[in-house]
Amino acid sequence: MSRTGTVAADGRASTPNGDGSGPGATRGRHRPWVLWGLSVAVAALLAVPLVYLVSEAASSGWSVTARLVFRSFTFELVWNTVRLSVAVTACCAVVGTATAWLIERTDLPARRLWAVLVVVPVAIPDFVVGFGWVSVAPAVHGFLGALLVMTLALYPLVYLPVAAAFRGADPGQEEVARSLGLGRMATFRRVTLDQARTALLGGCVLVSLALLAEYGAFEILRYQTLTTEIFFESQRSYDIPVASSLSLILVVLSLVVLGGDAAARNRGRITRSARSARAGTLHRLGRTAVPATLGLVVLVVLALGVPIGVIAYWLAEPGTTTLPATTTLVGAALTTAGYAAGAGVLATILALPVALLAVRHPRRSTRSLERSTFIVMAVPGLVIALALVSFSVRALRSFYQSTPLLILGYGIMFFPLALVAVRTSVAQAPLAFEEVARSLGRRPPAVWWRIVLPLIGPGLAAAFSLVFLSTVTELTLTLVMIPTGVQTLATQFWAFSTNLSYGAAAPYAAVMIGIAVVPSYVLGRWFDRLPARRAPDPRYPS
Amino acid sequence: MTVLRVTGLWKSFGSQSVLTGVDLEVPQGSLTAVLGPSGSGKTTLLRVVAGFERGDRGSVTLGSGVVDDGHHYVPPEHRGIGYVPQEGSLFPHLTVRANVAFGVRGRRRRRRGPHAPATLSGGGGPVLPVDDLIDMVGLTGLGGRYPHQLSGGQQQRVALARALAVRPGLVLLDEPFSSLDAGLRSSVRADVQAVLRSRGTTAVLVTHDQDEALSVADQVAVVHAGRIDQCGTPQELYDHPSNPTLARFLGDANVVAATIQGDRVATPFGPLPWRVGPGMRVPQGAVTALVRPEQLRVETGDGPGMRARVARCEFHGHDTVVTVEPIAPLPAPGTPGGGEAIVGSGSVTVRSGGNLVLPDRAPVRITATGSVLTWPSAVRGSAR
Repeated sequence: MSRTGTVAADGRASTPNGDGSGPGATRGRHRPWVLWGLSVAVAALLAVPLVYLVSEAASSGWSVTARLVFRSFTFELVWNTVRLSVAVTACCAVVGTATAWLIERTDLPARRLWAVLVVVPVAIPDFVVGFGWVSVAPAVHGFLGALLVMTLALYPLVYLPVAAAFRGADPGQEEVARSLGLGRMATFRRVTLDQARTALLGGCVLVSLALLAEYGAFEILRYQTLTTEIFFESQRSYDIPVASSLSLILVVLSLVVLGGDAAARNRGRITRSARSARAGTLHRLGRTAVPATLGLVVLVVLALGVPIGVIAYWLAEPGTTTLPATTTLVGAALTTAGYAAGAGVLATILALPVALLAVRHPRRSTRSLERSTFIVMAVPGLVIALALVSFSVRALRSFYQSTPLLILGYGIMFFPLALVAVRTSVAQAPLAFEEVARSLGRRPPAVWWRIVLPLIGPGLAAAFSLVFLSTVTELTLTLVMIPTGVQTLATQFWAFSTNLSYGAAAPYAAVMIGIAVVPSYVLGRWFDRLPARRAPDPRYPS
Repeated sequence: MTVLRVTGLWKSFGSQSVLTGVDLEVPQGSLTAVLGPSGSGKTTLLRVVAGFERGDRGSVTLGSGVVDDGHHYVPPEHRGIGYVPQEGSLFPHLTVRANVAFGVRGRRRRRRGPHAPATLSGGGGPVLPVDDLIDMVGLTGLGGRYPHQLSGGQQQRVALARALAVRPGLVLLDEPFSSLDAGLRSSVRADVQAVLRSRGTTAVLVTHDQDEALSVADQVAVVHAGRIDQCGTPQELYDHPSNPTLARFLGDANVVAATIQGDRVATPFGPLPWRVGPGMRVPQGAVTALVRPEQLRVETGDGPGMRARVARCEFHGHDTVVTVEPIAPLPAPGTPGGGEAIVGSGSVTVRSGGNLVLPDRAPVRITATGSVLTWPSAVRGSAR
């Protein structure tokens, strides 16, 4: 038998996909132990609040917890929370989607201007919107008041992803639907909405989670939810068993939202046969442009004009207050910026190993680890704060009410935000670049400095900015964890406004919004630039 | 002198063996193509040579230095090799000029060598300023552009210039043309070949395209199931493939049963002169023979040759490929060419120059010219 016999036998044994994996994916099949270790440590840190909740319930005895949970008062709180969540989410979905469609898919006049104006409310904290409305119209309170204020504060969370989905959608699908005999409305319902479905769903999840975690706005609007009651029990009554059993319910509700999202996502995926750079034909509004524009004017006046106008009004009024001054405007601004910077750095550093592991070593195990970290999204800041405070009281006495612990709280709370941005940026620097750089005679540290960092740097800056922005406007966790005698812009504003010293509170809101607007501008620029770098430039045909 | 020597190289990922004893020698100044279907392990071989992966067993020697033998391992930055990946992988944040200059050390980049001391160094032509390298690959004036402003072919040229800038002793090209469209591919390929030749740079090109391997390389190593099946010049491989499978992989092939009759071999197309591969014994009796489509001719009317009917006629412009099915009477089973006279599909492929229009099912005669390669008939069993 000659050796050709062996060739044939081996040929049958060989598999088609042995070498050649995708350009970005890992080929080094060695185990990234260091990354694994760091990522598992991060995941463990993020699990601390949940572990705290469960252990707290266990230590006070499940029967006690059950008795606290199954009270009629608890049912009332849950009912309040759930009905508001459903109503606000529905309203945000309608307002956000309609706005996105008008701005991205129609020939509405001044679309670019509207695109900026309708997003700005995202930089105004919910409790400032609530403050604005209450000081203008004291009648705004209770369920309807909360519905109005929270819709105005949260609809951009639906608008942003849905508008992006409309921009990226394949216009050919609508044209095909029309050619198959569907009318405008039927096309909108069956094709356009379906293109934005995943984005809409994601936006609704963000709205629901934000609503479940909200404290400040509801306190101002005198609307009782689980979160306001948890705050009251833990900070005023110091009844930790009640607070933690209510927290458990809150986290379960959030987990239901997250789980529903995951289930719905798995049912259908958007498939796009080819990436189309062609912009769709814009729908002609004709005379409908007048009511459409009026609608946007009303929206912007309510969501942006009222809070900004109120702040401006109170800025002009002489600020009188009975409260003793614990900080100055500059002092609070510096403290806030310092905390926010620390939070941004910490969250970005925490996200880096998890993102590197998930992007560069895509396996089932690494994906599960990455996904597990998103559970933090279901844990409201207030619960994270209670958990960390309680741990520090028991185990790390010297960290109780300290700045590092506060920063750690922010880091855990905003980890998912940072991870999304860091993940995107890590994908910009595939391993192939490092291999080429090393083949050109550069040692690994030089490769990191000259290739990897410049490529992932903008994304890291975006992650930092996202967290920075969110920290500046954070109130609930800060109120619980801030070191004694220190005030941030948010807490000082809160102290003045709950004391009805509106004139004294307004400057803090103004500075807070001012600080928050800058990073959101940078962020917007970064996300806009992302696809441009990938796509070949049409000006230079091959 | 041998620039690269791979000896008994094994590599597996988990339970999957990818390289199973590769032996390969690449002489100085040559362009060696490593040819194989996807999954054959050719890319893994290249990555072990580059140092991105470590071999399990066996050794890799660059010049006179062992770079990987299980004990020693020299990292990629110390090997003195140039690497051109499949997609080019230009650094997206650097201009063309900065990309090309990336591996060149120091402020006065044009005078210095590679950054790290390397196993192979100083190979591949004179030191050139970065701009001259850019000119050399035909991108004069584009030094200030960013990668996203270049076409795919231009990106590959920059990737080559970048690899050559460090004057590597060996350039490794990993399917560098596969992402280009057909028209561009041949021109970029020719230019790359010319640049490598002009600088006398030794290069290893990994490809799954036999046309590319045969037309570009001085030496072709066919990888199959994790080892080198055959290695030689393109002519040697095409004319003397070591088995029918390889013959088919390197181009269209008719594999037929035949019988040696003195200095002739009896084939279904008639008696023809025979030849054997280097190192093979003089054949006797029943053999398997290789007849390339361009050796065959389609004729009509009466005369010698194999009688057949036209099954398909494909016009390609420069030639016409005719597929025919033999019709009885073929020699009886057991006699030369009997039974499975035509190994494989049972049809015969003929390549005919120019335009040839033949109606379906038309009766034709197939005649052959030139000599045919013969293998001992035991080899026939492996043909697929």
